[in-house]
Amino acid sequence: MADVRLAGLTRRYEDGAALEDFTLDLDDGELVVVVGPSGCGKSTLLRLIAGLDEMSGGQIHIGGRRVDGLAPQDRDVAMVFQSYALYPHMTVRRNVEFPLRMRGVAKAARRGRVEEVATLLEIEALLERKPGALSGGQRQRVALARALVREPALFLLDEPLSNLDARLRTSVRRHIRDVQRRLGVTTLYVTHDQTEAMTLGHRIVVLDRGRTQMVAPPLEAYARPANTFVATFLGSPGMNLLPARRQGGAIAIGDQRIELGDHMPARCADGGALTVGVRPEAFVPSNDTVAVGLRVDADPASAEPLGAETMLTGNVGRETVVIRAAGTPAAETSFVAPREILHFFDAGGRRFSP
Amino acid sequence: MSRRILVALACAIAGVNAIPLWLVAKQAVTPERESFAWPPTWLPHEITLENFAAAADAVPLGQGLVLSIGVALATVGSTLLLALPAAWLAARRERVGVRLDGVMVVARLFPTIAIAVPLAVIFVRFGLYNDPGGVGLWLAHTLLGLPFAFLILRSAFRGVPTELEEAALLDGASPGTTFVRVSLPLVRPALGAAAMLVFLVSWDEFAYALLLQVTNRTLPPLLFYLSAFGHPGLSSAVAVLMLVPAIVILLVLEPALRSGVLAGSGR
Repeated sequence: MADVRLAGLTRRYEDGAALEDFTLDLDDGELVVVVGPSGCGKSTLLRLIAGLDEMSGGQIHIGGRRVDGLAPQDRDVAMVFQSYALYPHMTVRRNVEFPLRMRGVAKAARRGRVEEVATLLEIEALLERKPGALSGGQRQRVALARALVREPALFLLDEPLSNLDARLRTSVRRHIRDVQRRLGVTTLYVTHDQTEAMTLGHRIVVLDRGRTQMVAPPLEAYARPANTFVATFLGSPGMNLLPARRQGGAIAIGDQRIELGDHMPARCADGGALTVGVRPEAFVPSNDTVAVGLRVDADPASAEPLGAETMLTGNVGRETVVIRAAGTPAAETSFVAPREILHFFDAGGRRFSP
Repeated sequence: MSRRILVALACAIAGVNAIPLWLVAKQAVTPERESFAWPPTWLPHEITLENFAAAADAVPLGQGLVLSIGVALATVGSTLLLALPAAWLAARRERVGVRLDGVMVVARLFPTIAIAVPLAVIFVRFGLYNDPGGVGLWLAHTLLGLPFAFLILRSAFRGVPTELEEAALLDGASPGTTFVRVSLPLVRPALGAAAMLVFLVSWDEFAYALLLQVTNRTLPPLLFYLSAFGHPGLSSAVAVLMLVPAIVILLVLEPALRSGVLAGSGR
């Protein structure tokens, strides 16, 4: 267990950069989730930290010790691979105690540690089986046990849930979080699944095309996305983005003019273009309260009732907007998103503060 | 229906293969005059072991047997020792792999007969020609077996997920330990197949055995002499003798050939 400093991590290939200037400090015991679409550089990041891939630049400090330049086995880093990478010719017990064996831990101590971590991950009954005889969820837990058994300074998880079916995913996710908090091991967790990002991490890092887009606690990233990429990536469905133009104290979107008053971003020049963001759940039926905001008439044919909520689409100008309405609203409802909860981004996609 | 056709086909193939085996076995245990009988007979009329005794009198059979087994086992050892690291490297590093492929194929491009004579000249210089321990022949056989072992093992190593080796490195194993504890056990079936094939390559090898050894001969050239000088009974007896170690090797290695070691590594 240790704090971790990643400074300027860069990996370039002949055909471009997979990771560019990645900088992040992790506190002791913190769980940070790195999230992004496939090909964003998140797996490269883990491989650089683990020492499985060579860095083009940057420094890695774990517990105050500089480890880039050290071989993987000398970095005190454990990793759970997306494919689990269990040793198929060894029993579960052999798999879990392998890292202890390699570090010359005595037999009695090994036994104790294996039993301990097996209890924690509820695999005591599986210890004498081979990985081939286990289910996907069981293999996943064995992989976690093998990585945690020697109490690494840093724990890396590469999309550990992506091979599990949806139902199992929820329970294993909770399990990972509990175990991580209980052991207090500094953890970097990589995923493309934004649900995992939102629910697991103390902080999340949103990556796109090798570059860090935002680093923040999950709810803050959701509430105040730093740019349009983060806005659309977090949330399912993501934020609606609409092109707009400032006209004095109002903005024009499609054929609508919305008086913003105090909510007008100060940095936006009069007549300038901007992007307005609206979360699908920001819409409320417009007939009960009078609010100034973005009005949308939903297309009744688009309604997808999901029980607790209903997904609808409507048009603003030529843009399609997704609406997530509570319950099952009557057909042909018109909706409004109050101006207080609209998001504003500049022409480059960056958020206007605040 | 299609299953029956397959069974029939398998029987036919087995039958075709069994005919020469049966004839050799029959000739080995019947007097030589029966081998020349016309029309040829399928079943032995008179069973005798005299061919074995006569063959042992005609050629140094015991010495040949020991030398053949010694050279074959040594060849298996040296070939696997060389092929394992080469095959692993070729499987993991694409650029190295392409070059090694080229080297291995070139080594097999020339007929052994064409290499045997210059090789004999070199061996005379180094005192390895007609070596009583068959050291020169062992080296030549290693050269022959290497491409087979290399190709089998390379494709086996390609089947081992790189992540397993990376996991072992992160678990604290050195690259050498990773190879021995993780990579090697996972190619065991291929290792068995390669060992068997290389053993048989050396065991049956004739051209080098004929040209690199003059008085200290392995079994194939001895068999050739008996056959060439008109002793079908004696040569059949030697052929039957030659089957025994080959079958023993098959039985010893057979369990290793069973696949399925990789099941369960992944999702």
